[in-house]
Amino acid sequence: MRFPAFVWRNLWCRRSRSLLTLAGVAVGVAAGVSMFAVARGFDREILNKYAVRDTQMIVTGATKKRPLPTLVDQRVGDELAKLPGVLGVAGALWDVQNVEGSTALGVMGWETGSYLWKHLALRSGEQLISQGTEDTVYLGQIASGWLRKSEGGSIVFETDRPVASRFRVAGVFESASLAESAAAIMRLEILQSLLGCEGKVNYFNLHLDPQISPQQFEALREMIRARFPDLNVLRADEIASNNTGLRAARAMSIATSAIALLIGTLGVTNSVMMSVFERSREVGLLMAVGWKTHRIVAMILMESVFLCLGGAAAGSAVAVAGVTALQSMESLHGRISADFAADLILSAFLVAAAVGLLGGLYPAYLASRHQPCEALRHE
Amino acid sequence: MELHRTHDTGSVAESGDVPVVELKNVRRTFDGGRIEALRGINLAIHRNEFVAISGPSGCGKSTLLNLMGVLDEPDAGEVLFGGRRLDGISARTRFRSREVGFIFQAFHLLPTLTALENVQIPMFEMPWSCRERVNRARQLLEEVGLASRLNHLPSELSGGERQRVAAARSLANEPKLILADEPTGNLDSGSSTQLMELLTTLHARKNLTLIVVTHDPAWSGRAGCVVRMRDGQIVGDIFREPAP
Ligand SMILES: Nc1ncnc2c1ncn2[C@@H]1O[C@H](COP(=O)(O)OP(=O)(O)OP(=O)(O)O)[C@@H](O)[C@H]1O
Ligand SMILES: [Mg+2]
Repeated sequence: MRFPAFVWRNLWCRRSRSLLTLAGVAVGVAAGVSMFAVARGFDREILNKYAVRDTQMIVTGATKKRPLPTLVDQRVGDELAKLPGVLGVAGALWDVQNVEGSTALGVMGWETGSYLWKHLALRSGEQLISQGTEDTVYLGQIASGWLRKSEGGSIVFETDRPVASRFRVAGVFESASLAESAAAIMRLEILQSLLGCEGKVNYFNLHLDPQISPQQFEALREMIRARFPDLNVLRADEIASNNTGLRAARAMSIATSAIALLIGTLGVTNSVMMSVFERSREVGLLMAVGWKTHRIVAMILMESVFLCLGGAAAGSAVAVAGVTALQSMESLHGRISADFAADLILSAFLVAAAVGLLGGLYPAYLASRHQPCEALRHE
Repeated sequence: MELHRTHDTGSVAESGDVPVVELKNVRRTFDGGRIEALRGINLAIHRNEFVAISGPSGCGKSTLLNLMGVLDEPDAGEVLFGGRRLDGISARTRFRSREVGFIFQAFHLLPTLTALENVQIPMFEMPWSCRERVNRARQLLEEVGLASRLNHLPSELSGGERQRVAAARSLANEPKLILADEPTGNLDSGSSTQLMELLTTLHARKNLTLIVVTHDPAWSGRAGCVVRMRDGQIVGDIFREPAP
């Protein structure tokens, strides 16, 4: 018999308690893993959104203190375009609009003729909206599915403004970004007049010289900050870390996981401690036959680590299954994009192992303090 | 060895031979001194001896055996093993693992493990491979006549069979000293005789030093040396007979 097999036997003969403890750990792991997966999915989303557009820098009216972007004069873009290393600037406006009665739809207005349009991957329909007419809109693949509209159809935006609100769907595009895929894109001026903010944008996309060094990037950032103190300059990948929603999601994942960990550790400690108490005589026997203290400690710790690793396996499986089920639910379709990278699952296992060690520590210490003949007298 | 009768238990039965276990003026109390379980024990046990310790309940037999098996420590006096004191936890643990085997009245088998697995328990401390452990355990169980019960749980064995598993376990790491605390105390007379025969045979075949605590006069008849105790002391003479 091997040592781990011996430890396993101890757990197996107390199956129901082992399973309950394992289930407790599994619930914690499932909660933590799914929260992190969803938060990381959002992260990835935002990165994709900019990466697919050749955008390396974002200049926005949003700051940490003022998360909702304020409107910025579109002409600032002309100034940005003159800065060294900037190859292209595209002003953009982003908003959420009610369409077709009640569906809330993300809408983006892209500056006419800007570089953003070059990367629009159309699945169907006419290329280049900049050549199109005033009343056309492109729908992301998911938005098209939601609204059951595709090329040739039309959608109605709800607006109080005295402007045309019926738009022809000129095409359906694909995007690696979920947010974009669930949105509509139109020419900037049209969205401006729809929203009543002519000449204004939320943010600028900057396409930079690919040769630009990190130092030059920082220099450029400083230059823009000096010129426009009200604006925030971000690297495309910083967007994710600055997004308040995401920060909240991440904080929540961490808080949930921390609570789950605490509960898991207490549960494991309790369960392992009970089994140590019940097995006083057994521990005494092991000492009497000459087991070293560290082997007894190893036995107890291994028991508790086994429990936690089992919990991690079950919890991860539940998290993946649960979130996948949520993702495929009709009503949530397209709103959750979870990221179950291998390293997330791996960290779940590592954290669970750590919880096992931590939870087993005190019971193992108690077991190691047994005196063999006292323990053997124990009834 | 010649017939030997002595009060002075510290003396050497076989000249030039260092005792396997020697107790010098050993005292052991419990409950902060209120219970005097052992009150000045002097006893030397030599290699290859078969010793029976008897006496009324509560006279300190188990306490004495626990001291000889390094499960406990005296309050005063010395316990010497091969002429040396065992100081420090690692020396004591090592001794328990390699030099001594214990058999208990209550068997103390792990209920979740089969006979074959129970016998392997002490072997984890030895540098043996898993296969070696299994082979040795199987061989020991064959020696105690349980070749057909290898994969039975303790709950599936009779009392006598359980105690034979425990006997095999006590031999797991090839110790030369076996201590048995009322090994037949929970057995019927048939099983008792069988176990006595087994231990007597093993004692002879493996050159063991065997110390048995017992109420049963049948043991005393087999032992080469009988120690009687009362109230924490050795009473009367210690009888030593020549080996057959
Ligand atoms: N751990 C302990 N705590 C308190 N008292 C103890 C302890 N161990 C033994 N004693 C006491 O010491 C005395 C000797 O006990 P011991 O178990 O050695 O007797 P024994 O001769 O083996 O008796 P028995 O034949 O009933 O097994 C008894 O009075 C017992 O109550
Ligand atoms: Mg006793």
